[in-house]
Amino acid sequence: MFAVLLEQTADGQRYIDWLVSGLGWTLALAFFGWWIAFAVGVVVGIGRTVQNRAVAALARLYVEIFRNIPVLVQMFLWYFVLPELLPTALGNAIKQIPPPWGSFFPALVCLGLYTAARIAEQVRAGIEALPKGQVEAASALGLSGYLTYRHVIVPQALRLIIPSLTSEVMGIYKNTSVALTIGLMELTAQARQISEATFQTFTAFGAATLVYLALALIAYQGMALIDRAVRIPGTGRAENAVEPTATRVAQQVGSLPDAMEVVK
Amino acid sequence: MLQLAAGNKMGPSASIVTVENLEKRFGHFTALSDVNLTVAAGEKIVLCGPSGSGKSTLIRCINHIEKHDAGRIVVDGVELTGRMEDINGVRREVGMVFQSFNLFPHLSVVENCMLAPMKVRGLSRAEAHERAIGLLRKVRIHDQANKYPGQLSGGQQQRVAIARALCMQPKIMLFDEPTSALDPEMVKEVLDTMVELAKDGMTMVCVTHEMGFAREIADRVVFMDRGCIVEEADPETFFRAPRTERARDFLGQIIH
Amino acid sequence: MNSLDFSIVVQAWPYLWSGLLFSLALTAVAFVVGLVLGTCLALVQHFELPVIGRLVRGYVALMRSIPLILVLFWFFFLVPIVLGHLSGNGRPVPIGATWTAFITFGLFEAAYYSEIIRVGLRAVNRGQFEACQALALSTFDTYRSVILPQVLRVASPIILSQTIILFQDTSLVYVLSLTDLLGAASKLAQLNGRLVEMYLVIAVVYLAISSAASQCVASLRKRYAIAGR
Ligand SMILES: Nc1ncnc2c1ncn2[C@@H]1O[C@H](COP(=O)(O)OP(=O)(O)O)[C@@H](O)[C@H]1O
Ligand SMILES: [Mg+2]
Repeated sequence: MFAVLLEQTADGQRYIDWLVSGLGWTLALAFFGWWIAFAVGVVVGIGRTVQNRAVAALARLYVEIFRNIPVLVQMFLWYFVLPELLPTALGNAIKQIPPPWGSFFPALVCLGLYTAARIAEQVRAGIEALPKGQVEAASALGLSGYLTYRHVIVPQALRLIIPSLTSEVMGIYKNTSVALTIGLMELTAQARQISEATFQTFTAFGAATLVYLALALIAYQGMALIDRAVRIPGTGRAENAVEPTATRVAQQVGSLPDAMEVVK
Repeated sequence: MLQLAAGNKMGPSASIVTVENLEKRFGHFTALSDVNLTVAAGEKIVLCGPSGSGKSTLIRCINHIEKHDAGRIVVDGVELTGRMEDINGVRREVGMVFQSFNLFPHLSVVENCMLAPMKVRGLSRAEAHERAIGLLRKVRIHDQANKYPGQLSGGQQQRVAIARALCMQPKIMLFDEPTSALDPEMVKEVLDTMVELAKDGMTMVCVTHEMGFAREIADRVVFMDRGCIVEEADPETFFRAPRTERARDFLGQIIH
Repeated sequence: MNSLDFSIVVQAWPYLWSGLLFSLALTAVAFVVGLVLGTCLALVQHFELPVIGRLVRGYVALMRSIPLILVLFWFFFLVPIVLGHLSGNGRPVPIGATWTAFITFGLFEAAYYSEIIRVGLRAVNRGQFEACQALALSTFDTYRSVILPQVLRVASPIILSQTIILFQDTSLVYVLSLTDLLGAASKLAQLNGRLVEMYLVIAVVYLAISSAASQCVASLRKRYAIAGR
């Protein structure tokens, strides 16, 4: 059924090359976007929890704005609106960026900053879920605020939120498809293009679906690997606990979409 | 309701619960082996023994919350096999009070008591309400009827749990360490409620280490260890002169 | 940089408003359908029904692994074919983008809600099931009167957060050229060329609605935190 993917296209390639190129853009967007999101998200998340009112308010404002506007609308704001609001010369320079980079960079910034807001909330929840005694113990040892965050709070909070970060990783690679609305030929866009060129819709979308499924599996396994690698010995999650056989109600609580519900 | 009639035919002195050669395993671990016990109507039995000896498992088998692996359990004339109609028929007649209360947190106190009578016994809302208030009054907590479990103290919650079980008008009540999760000052109010219930003639099987309670109401103390019944005696004899070494060790530990 | 002229928005408002109503209607329908269907899917998985349990598990995993835009494309392509088969004569039934959107969002959200409820079901204390057994409640009554009310209550902040995401996600029907809030704005922008004003305004509208809703969820969460335990 996938034979059509090996046929020649009008431009001398094969359809599968289109898919591979789409996958490349999807991966590039997800990968680099993730690091922007992670860096910004951790900083903003910490900002949400600090004593300084102004910093906390600023961090909160960031989260409110970037989390409450649909990612597609944000995409349009970066792509269509930003160049118009900048000084004319700069705006024109941005518009001159050749494709596909002209679409790629706005998409990258958009996904990075959008996902950062979601990560920030996870980081904040992780920090707030830590027992108060940790901060007290750190200050009793004379650690400064910075050192407490750097060596006590953040390392623990990040471990705590790995399960919920998994869903953010999944979120960012799925959201890469939104970039097709500003003309980036990523995986979904390529699948649609193949479907239009060959009328083999089932094959085209099926191939893309399989690729996305594989990505999901990789992301999931990768995060599970990280979770295991950084786990603190002696603090296994509940799956090691004896499970009562009498009922199916497992004590272990998996990753909720809003995973902090579990941590309490 | 056939079982009910069958149960009544046996007369008042017939046993309500008969356990014969009971065996229960969790995987390779044998939690109960060759347990025999009969509980006559009106009888009060206190089950004691070290932690992990199988007390909870035994009384949970009696209303089939745990499924036994071998042996016979007959409750109110009905043998517990796997058939769901039998099991539900038996559970209707058996009240159970848990160590951790297990009240329904989303229902008010009175609603907790009304749920099963309405759904299982088919009472109307008004009838269920009347019965619930009556039994809440009996456990002296009717003034809290419209509160939610989370707003009550542990002792109050456990008394609600007792009233909830009584609302089904059970023939026998099972208690699994009803006071172990309570702060010391609340233990008495729950024990007083149980004593009153015993004096009303309720058939009871209580897992508890409260010796004063056992002395006051128990007809028999049953001592378990490592999944077996090791000793059975009236409370005076058991506490004064236990026959087995294991029981002596156990009593030595809980008295000091 | 051209000077901004927001008076154009006043003119455009009735059209934007109808777009917003469409977005809200889509959200509401997907919420109801998704929650009811999602609860069923969660229960099927919870009971570990032999074959259908695995099918449902696969469906949920699939929906959660692929982008919503691709799901929309899939349904836009598949729904007419499936309906054609269901109706018997085998010819595709063209139902249009609007119906596609409603069906897709309902089925898609069901997967997400079911996951929330499934996890909630697993988190219910074992003692609750045992108390129901001890009271001889039937399985149906146990779930209807005791377990599901607790799960829905505990999960309601997460369910509502998911619904806010759903509201934002409805903007993706843009790819089906529907006239939701974003679709209305983009169509107007193409007509009058004022895309800066249009997109800024709808961004503010989305922001206002979503963040007001988030505030409500947050205060709900706080209320439960106090009332519970
Ligand atoms: N669901 C279960 N799965 C595995 N082992 C169990 C389970 N329930 C009880 N056990 C084991 O059975 C033994 C008896 O338990 P229990 O009846 O709870 O003891 P008691 O109530 O006397 O303290 C214990 O060793 C316990 O670990
Ligand atoms: Mg026990």
